[in-house]
Amino acid sequence: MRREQITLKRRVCQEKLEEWLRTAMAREAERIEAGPDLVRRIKVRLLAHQGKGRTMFIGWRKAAVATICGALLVSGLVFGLSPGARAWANKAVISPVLSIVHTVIRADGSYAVTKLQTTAKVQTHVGFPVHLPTYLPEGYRLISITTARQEKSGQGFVSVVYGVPGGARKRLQLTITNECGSLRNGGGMQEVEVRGKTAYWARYSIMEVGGAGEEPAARVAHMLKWGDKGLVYKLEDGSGTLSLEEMLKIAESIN
Amino acid sequence: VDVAPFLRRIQEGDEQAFEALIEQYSGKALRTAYLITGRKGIAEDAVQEAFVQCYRKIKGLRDPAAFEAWFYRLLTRICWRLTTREKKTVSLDSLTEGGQEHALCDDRMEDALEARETKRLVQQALGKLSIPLRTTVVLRYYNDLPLKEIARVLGCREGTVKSRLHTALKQLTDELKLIAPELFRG
Repeated sequence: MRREQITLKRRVCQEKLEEWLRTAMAREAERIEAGPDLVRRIKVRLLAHQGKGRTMFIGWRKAAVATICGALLVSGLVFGLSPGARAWANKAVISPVLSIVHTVIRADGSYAVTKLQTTAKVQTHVGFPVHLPTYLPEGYRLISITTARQEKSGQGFVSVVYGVPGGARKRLQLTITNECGSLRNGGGMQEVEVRGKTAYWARYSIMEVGGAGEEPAARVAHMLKWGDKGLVYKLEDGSGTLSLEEMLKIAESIN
Repeated sequence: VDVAPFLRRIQEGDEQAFEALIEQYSGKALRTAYLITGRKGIAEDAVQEAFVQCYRKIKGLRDPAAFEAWFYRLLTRICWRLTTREKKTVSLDSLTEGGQEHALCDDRMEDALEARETKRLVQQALGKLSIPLRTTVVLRYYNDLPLKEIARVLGCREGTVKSRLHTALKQLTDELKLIAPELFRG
């Protein structure tokens, strides 16, 4: 009996509280009126949204999509149709040179190493004109350029390394030097012609020492050597995979 | 308010229909937002944003009967966000809106005193509730929404709404017994 009384009292109390809440909140809220100013502000925000926000948003998106499509189309046309542009992209964008280092050897035997930012600066540092091949076998790209010059004698060299990404053994090295004495037939060389001048081609073996416990292995390499305008050029194919014709084609493309 | 005729016209791009909807709903929306947030300034911002969002999203609303729950869902979410951003504890104690003070001057003194007392009690009692509890109380006792509808608005189960109401009423009872024991006499 007593429990029922308590429950009933609680229910009455809750109902009273609910009633009070309804009345009190209604009284409290009725003081707040949505004046014409609020409605006007909502309309202004909507107009801004319709007139500026939405159209600007759609316009911005359309412009971005159009720009991307246009850029893709133009670059596709340029690089698809122009071999020059393809070569430039390959050199400058797809396969940039990893490093260009120039060393000056001073008269006292000390030396200074400079990192160059562009291939164009190579010939300024080395002191003679440097021309690189415009033709390379498929897959080869420029890896690094190393130059050195003796301050006293003015003699120096440029060593350019090309490689095939992922092809560890495929290395092609072009060395250009103004040391004229370095051009001579070392014996066993085949005489050929590059740009109408005598050149020498050789096929030789290199002993390759592996890791500990591994037997040394011999591999074949190719070399083409020629002189032009006071400079000596040496093209070495460390993998031995390039034919004489291919190496001559590379040499002929240097001008 | 039956929004069915409005809704189709609004969805077809009739701006006048949307303006009519604003006229119809802005008052109730503002008062609801005010009771939830406890500040008229925040409530006005919330209502403005709710209508802008409503305009952007209303095309996706298929059932006109669901409009009220859908709109209050937008509004309560915005109220919660703005309140959190303001880092206010939503204590209604600090409520000193000029308009309300002037309104009091026009009433008879007795009514004014009673109104002031009611206001004080509502402020103090509701101010102690957390925002989810306060929102549930406002939707139930001011907006007169059924439990199922409140569950839709708040995106929770009906059982959660019941539980929140129970907790809120208990907290309110405790608070009001302290500040206004006369309410529980008899």
